Amino acid sequence: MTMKKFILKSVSLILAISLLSAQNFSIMASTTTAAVEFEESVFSYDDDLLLAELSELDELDAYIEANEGTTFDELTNENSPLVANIESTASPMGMADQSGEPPLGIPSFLWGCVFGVVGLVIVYIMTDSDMDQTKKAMWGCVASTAVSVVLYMVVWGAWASAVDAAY
Amino acid sequence: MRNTLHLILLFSVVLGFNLNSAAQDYFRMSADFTTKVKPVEGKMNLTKGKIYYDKYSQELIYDISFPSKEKWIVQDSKIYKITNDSVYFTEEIPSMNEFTVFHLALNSNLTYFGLDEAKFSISNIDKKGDLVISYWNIPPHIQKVISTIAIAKKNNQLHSIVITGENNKILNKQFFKDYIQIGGFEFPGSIVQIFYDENNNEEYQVMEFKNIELNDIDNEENYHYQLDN
Repeated sequence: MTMKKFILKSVSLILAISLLSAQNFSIMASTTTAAVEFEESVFSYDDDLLLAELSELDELDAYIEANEGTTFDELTNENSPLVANIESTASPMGMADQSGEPPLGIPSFLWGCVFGVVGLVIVYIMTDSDMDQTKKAMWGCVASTAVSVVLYMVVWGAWASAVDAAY
Repeated sequence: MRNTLHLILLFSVVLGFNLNSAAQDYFRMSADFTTKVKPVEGKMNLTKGKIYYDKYSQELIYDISFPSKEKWIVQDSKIYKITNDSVYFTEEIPSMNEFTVFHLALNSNLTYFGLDEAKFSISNIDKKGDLVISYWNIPPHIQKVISTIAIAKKNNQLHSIVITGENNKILNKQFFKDYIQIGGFEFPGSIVQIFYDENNNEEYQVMEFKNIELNDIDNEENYHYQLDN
């Protein structure tokens, strides 16, 4: 009898967790977008063109590697042609300062190589002019999280009592 | 005899579990980096130095040696630029360090560039040649500017990301190449990013990494910058 009760509670618990997980995952899954498929060539680039475009930078890079500690100012003072077309400011994350609006309104440095797609999406949402909608979405997220936490606590409580009853 | 076998089996399981845990426990990294930027117009940019990142403190430090000696510290929601131990620039930014390639790699979450961990969902999966391509659903807020995020994996490693905008025009491509493998840790030796402007002109950003060091506990000060200095 106790075993049957335990199995029933366990099944209920698994179903509750499945339902809760499905609910959580559907938050993003519901935002369906138009189906699109790319050709394999989209996921490639012209390596030779890249090398050609970066040749001046590669030349300067090789010089700095061979002459460790050399600074931009030192090269400028020597009238080195290596820095004739190079900015004097650092841009470690990529995307040097440029005039005009950054792409999608996202701060330039955040378009750099090191930030993930999720980060860019978050930044876009946070920098979106429609702040009211953004705030509503945030409150929706907070409410959803609170409900999830309460449900999880209830479910875990039920599980703990089921285990106690079984043993 | 049977007891001995049980003991050996138990020991193997415990040892295996511990080795697996140890292999996954990469908490900080440093690397030499080189960033090259070639815009459509205007001057190019070369930045060289060393990055330090600790995933627990989520502090990202760029110790720059070229064009000039300076440090960029990204802490919480602020970026500080420092020369000669004095802050010359501060800016509020969204808290982003947990979405960096460094954080994702240290947590072995680089395969989908963090999208899966953020509970984004895949709308479609396709196979083209060696590539397994996943297409991701876009949050409603940004569908008007980003229409598609497609991630290609090759040999179970992140290979490339393509982001498209209105009318599926490609805005941005990123390629993750020359992976460096250290134990169970893997990190792209180079990241190539290509932007397309409204006239389809290409702008290039390339970031290269080498001399990666993991879990360095002897140089604590490199990973935590005391700003009150």
